[in-house]
Amino acid sequence: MLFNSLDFAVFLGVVFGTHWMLRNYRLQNAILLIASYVFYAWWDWRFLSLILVSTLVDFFVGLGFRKTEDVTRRKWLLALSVGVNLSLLAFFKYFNFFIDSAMKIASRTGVDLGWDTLNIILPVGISFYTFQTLSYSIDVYRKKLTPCTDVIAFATFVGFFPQLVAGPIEKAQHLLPQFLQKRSFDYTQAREGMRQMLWGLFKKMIIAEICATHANLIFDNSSIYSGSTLALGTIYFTIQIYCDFSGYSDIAIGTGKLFGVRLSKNFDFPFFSKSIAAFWRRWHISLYDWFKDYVYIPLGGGQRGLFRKVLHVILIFFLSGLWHGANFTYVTWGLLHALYVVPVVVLGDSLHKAFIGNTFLKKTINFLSALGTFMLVAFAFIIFRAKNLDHAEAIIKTTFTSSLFEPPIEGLWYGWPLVIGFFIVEWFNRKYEYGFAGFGKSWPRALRWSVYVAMAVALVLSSGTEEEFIYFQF
Amino acid sequence: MRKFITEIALFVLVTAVTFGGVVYLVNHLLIVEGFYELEEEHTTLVLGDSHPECAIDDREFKSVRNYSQSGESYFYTYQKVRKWLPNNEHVKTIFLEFNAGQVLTSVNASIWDDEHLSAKLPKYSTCMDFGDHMLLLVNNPLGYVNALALTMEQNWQLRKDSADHFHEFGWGTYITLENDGSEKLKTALPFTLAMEEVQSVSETNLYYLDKIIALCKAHDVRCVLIRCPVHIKYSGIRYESTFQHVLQTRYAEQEFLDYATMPMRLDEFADEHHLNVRGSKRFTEAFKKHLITH
Repeated sequence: MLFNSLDFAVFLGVVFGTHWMLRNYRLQNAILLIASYVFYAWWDWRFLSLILVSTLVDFFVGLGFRKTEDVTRRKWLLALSVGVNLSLLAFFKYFNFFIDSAMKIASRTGVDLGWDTLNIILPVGISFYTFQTLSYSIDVYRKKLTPCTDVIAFATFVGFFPQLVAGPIEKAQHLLPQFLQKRSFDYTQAREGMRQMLWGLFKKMIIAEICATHANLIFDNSSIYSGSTLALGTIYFTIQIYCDFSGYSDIAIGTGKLFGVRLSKNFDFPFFSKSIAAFWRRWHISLYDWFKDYVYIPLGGGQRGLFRKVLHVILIFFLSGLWHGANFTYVTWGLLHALYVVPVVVLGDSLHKAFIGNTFLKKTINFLSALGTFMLVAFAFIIFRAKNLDHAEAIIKTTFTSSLFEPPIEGLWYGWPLVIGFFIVEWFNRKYEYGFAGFGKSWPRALRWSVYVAMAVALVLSSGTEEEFIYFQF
Repeated sequence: MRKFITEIALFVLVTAVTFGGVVYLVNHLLIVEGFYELEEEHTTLVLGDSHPECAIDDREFKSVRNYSQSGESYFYTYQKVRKWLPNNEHVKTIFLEFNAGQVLTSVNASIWDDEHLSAKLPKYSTCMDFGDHMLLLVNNPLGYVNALALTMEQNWQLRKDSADHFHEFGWGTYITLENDGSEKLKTALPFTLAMEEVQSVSETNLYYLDKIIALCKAHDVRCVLIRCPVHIKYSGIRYESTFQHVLQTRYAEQEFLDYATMPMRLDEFADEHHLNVRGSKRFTEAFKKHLITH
């Protein structure tokens, strides 16, 4: 069930109405849980078993932590949780990748392993909910969180449908307590939730779709295009993935607000970042917070010398690339970003901080820094989007030839006024929670509603195809 | 909560009305003078589905034009006729395919399933009235909205280019099928009376057939129902009794030319229910003789 579908609109209306008819938060949780499992089963009912396994293992591990203070036992319980969740992830997501990779490496040494790959379907959302349940087990092990004894509340935390299939990846400390207390309907929060959902849908169905039309055409036929066309295609894909993913996050967060649940911010206007380090504090925030809290800091973070710090940073980006999928393009993408970030780690951000300020020179430097950061990010997305490393290499080689200065193919400028308008709106709302949060607040109601209605009509007219969100494949 | 639900309901209502207004405006903008005019020499039209589309070669006639189209139900044929007849007084006769496929409930899919909506709505939305739009919306809301989006895009493009050729753009034409279906027909299983099935009829499609007939009467246009040749192994024969029942009870007074069992050679069929170019040539000759004598 896609967010941008009539099915979801009807589903949401029913769940919303049923949820708020009940006053008791336990009954509300039960409704949300049933709705979440229906939502997940809509994709493929067989995968319900996986989320149930992950949920029950971590719930009982939590109860186990409650019953024992013995360090060894607690470590074993943690190992059980980590083992089960990562095994599920490893098998469904990486089994064929590891088999293929091992066979390729072996064949280069003249060895034929003769292993078979399996016909495995990747369960939607597995990368997200396994990380979410792991955050619970680790926080309880560290005694940062009290073990949950309410299985319905816990299952609702794991499977909460707005963020189940593509995040934000919620930390247990932030989300779980919200299911253990009374929730009352808040008109302002619900109204804000609807505005955020409208904005998320607009980003996904209008902006991302315009960019996707061009990006798909160019990347799928890259061998016939000039460098300038490929460069434009890269920019389109960069904007597409941002609007697609942040659009989903906005819809998820807005939907959460309808039920009185606050989900974490996942994007903080990353394309206005003036450095790569700043970019990674603003892009897919929930994933990087997870890696920081559960991998980087436990390994020692930056506390064990510069060399170890650099190694930890490289490891985080390697894991991040791998998390995105079982393909060397994602791993390479992650390592390229590690290459971008390492100089900042070694040299520090102080070079850039010298230019922060309000003079014209400083503003020019800031603008150029943001543009440069965007270009680095877009370049890395060539590898992310390509079918394989050979494809990425071919695109990069063609892009950086004299054909980069030829006029691109006709028809690529369709939609640019809308894309530019979109970024202008985001720029003027960058101090707010999301790109549309401050829009029209001081306007008369009729004018504000005209904009909302125009956006809604545009969404209905663009509903010709139900395109999946890019991050569902992760 | 009440305030929130009221606001949502109001928003949905305003959006729906605005959406309807935008659709009406774009459709209305598409209509230019001469939009529905047909050539003066075409005094006879052939309409219907793929059976006449492949069967009657209008290149053999000066006064006949074949506007049949594959998968076309009477719902869409009516949209053409309602615009053509008032704007083309020179049209005197319509030959309209009438077969079991147009009578049974299975034809409803040709009116409002996703595939037909996305193919037909962009072509005929400018002709349809509110009731026609509501029929499609009620029976397939998501498919209708999706098709409407395609319609808006196409209409806008036609308006920008040259909308006055729209009536020539995909509203049906004779097509030739080159393939020889004899091998397939030799091995196909025959249908017998013992395999007859009774199926319910599509009241919706027959309602639009009635409207076509009434419109022809109102414009003093002769409306002749015709059934093009099909092979005896055509599966539609299973429903012959249902077809005959409808014919005898509802259209007994209507002129009907039944060529379904016209003797044809195996190699004149492309498949069980479509004539190929050889079959079309022979049938067109027979049709021509009928026109001369009647």
